[in-house]
Amino acid sequence: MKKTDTVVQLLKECFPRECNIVGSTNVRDIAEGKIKYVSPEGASKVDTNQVLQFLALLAILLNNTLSIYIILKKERGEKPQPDILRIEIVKRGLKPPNIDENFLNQLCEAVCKKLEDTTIEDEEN
Amino acid sequence: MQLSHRWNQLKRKVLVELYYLFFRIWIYPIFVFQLVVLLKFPSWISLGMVIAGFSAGVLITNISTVLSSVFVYSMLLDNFLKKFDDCDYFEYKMIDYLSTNSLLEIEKTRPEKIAINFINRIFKSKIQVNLEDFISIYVVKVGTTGVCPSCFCTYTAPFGQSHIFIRDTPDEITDFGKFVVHHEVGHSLIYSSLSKLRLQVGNKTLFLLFIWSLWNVSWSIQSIFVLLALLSAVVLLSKEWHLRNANLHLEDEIWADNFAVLALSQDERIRLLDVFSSPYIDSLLYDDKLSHQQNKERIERLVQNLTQSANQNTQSIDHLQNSSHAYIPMEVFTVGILVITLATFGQEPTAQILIQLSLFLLLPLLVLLVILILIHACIILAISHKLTINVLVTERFSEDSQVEPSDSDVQN
Repeated sequence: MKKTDTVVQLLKECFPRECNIVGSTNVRDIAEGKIKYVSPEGASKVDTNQVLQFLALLAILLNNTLSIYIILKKERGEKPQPDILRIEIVKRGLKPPNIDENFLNQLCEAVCKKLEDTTIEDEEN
Repeated sequence: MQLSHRWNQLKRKVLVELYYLFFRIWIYPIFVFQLVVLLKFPSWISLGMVIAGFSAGVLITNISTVLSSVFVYSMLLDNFLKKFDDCDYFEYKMIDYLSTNSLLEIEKTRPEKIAINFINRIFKSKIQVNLEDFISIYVVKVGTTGVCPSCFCTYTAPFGQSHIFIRDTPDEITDFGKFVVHHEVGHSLIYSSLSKLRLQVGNKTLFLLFIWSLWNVSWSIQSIFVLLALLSAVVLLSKEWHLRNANLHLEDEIWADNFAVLALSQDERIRLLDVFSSPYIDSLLYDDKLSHQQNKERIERLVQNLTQSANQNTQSIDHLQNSSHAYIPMEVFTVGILVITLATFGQEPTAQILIQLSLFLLLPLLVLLVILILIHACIILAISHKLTINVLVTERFSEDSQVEPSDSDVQN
C-alpha cells in the first residue's frame, strides 16, 4: 500500500467527523501534501479552514510517524511497539507543540495496529 | 384544541395576506399613488400615469436587482475564478447530488416556474423551465500550483444563476457535503427569494416616489405635512428596517437549513448530528452577515431540528418554513397609509406631465437598466468562457476512459 493511501485511511478511521466535514477529495489532497488552501471572498461560504488546518497537521504527523516506523523496523528487524514509536517521535522533535502525549500515543497505537498486516510501499524500497 | 389551531392558522393567513398587500405598496408606491389619483380623476391620462407609475416601480426594482447581480458576478470573476485560475472545474447537474423529491420541491417553489405555469395555462403554451439553468454545481480539482478554495462557496446572483463550488464528486460526497449542497440549493426556494427581493428593494422605490410627487401633488400645508411625515417615517424607521433585514437574513438561512435537513435520509441525519456536536460547528456555519446572537440562534435551531428529524419528527420543521411571514413590520403599514394619504392630494395629471416624466425619469431609468443588462451579459460571458475551458477537460476525460480522472492526472 502507498504511504499516502495509508495516511488517508488512518485519517478516515481515526478522525471520521473531521473527514466527513472536509470531504474525501480534501483528505486525499492533504495526505499528498501538495495543496495550499486560500479563502475566497464575496461568497456565501461554509468555511472548513479550521478543520483543514487540523487535518493538515495530522497528515504531516502521520507521514513522519510512518517514516519513523519504517526506519525503526529496518534498524531493529521487527515491528516497533507504539511506546517506542512515540518516544522516537518526541526524541526527534517531530511532535507538534499543540498535540499532547496521550493523543500522540493513541495515534501511534492506531499506526501500529494498521501496519500489523499491511506493508507500505516505501518500506519495501 | 383543534378549533384554536384552526383559528391560529386563519389568523396567520390573514396576517400574511395583509402583509403582502402592504408590502406591494412598499415595492410599488408610485403605482398605488397613481391608482388613487385615477379613482379621483378618471381619465385616459390618469390610466397612462398608472402604467407609468407601475413601470417606474418595475424599472427601479430591476435596476436594483441587476446591479446586485453585477456585483455578485464580478466577485465571482475577480475573487474566485481569477484566484483559482489553474483549478479544473467539472460541471455536474443538480440531479447528480439531489434526490428526486428535493428537485420536485424546488421546482414547485421556484418563482420562474410559477410564472411560466401561469403563462402556459393562459396561452395554452408548453414552455419549459429547466432548473439546471438557475443552479450550477462545479467540482473544483487542484491544478499545478496546488491553490484551492478552503470552503464550500456559493455565488448567488438575484438576476441570474447560483454557482456552487464544492470539492467532492457525487459518488464521493459526504453527509456534511450533501447538507451544504442542499442548503445552498434551498436558498433558491420562493420564500427565500421573496425575502431577498425585500432586501434588494429597501427604500429605493419610496425615494423615487418623493421625486415623482414633485410633479404630481397639489402643494399645500397639508400635503407638505403628509410628505414630511412620509419622509420622516422612512428615515426614522430605517433602523427598524435594518433590524428586520437582518432577521430576514437569519430566516433565509433557517429556511435553507430546514430544506437541507428534510432532504436528507434518516441515517444521514443521525451521522450529521454527530458532526454538529463537534467543536468546529460554530466556525463552520459562522455567517458574517448575522450577529453573534443570530449565529447562535441559527445553530441551536438547526441542531434542534436535526435531533427532532433524527427521531422521525419532521412536522415541526415543515411548520417553521412559513413562520417568518407571521409578523407585519409597522413601517410597512405606516408607509402604506401615508402613501395613500399623499395620493389624495394628487393633482389631475396632464399629457404634458406624462410626457415630461416619461422623457426625464422613465427613459433615463430604462437606459440605465439596458446598460446594466449589457454589463451583466458581458460578465456572464467572461465567467462562462473561464468555465467552458474546463468543461472541455471534463469531456476529454469522459471520452477517454468513462471514469473520473485520477489525482495524478489532475495534478499534471
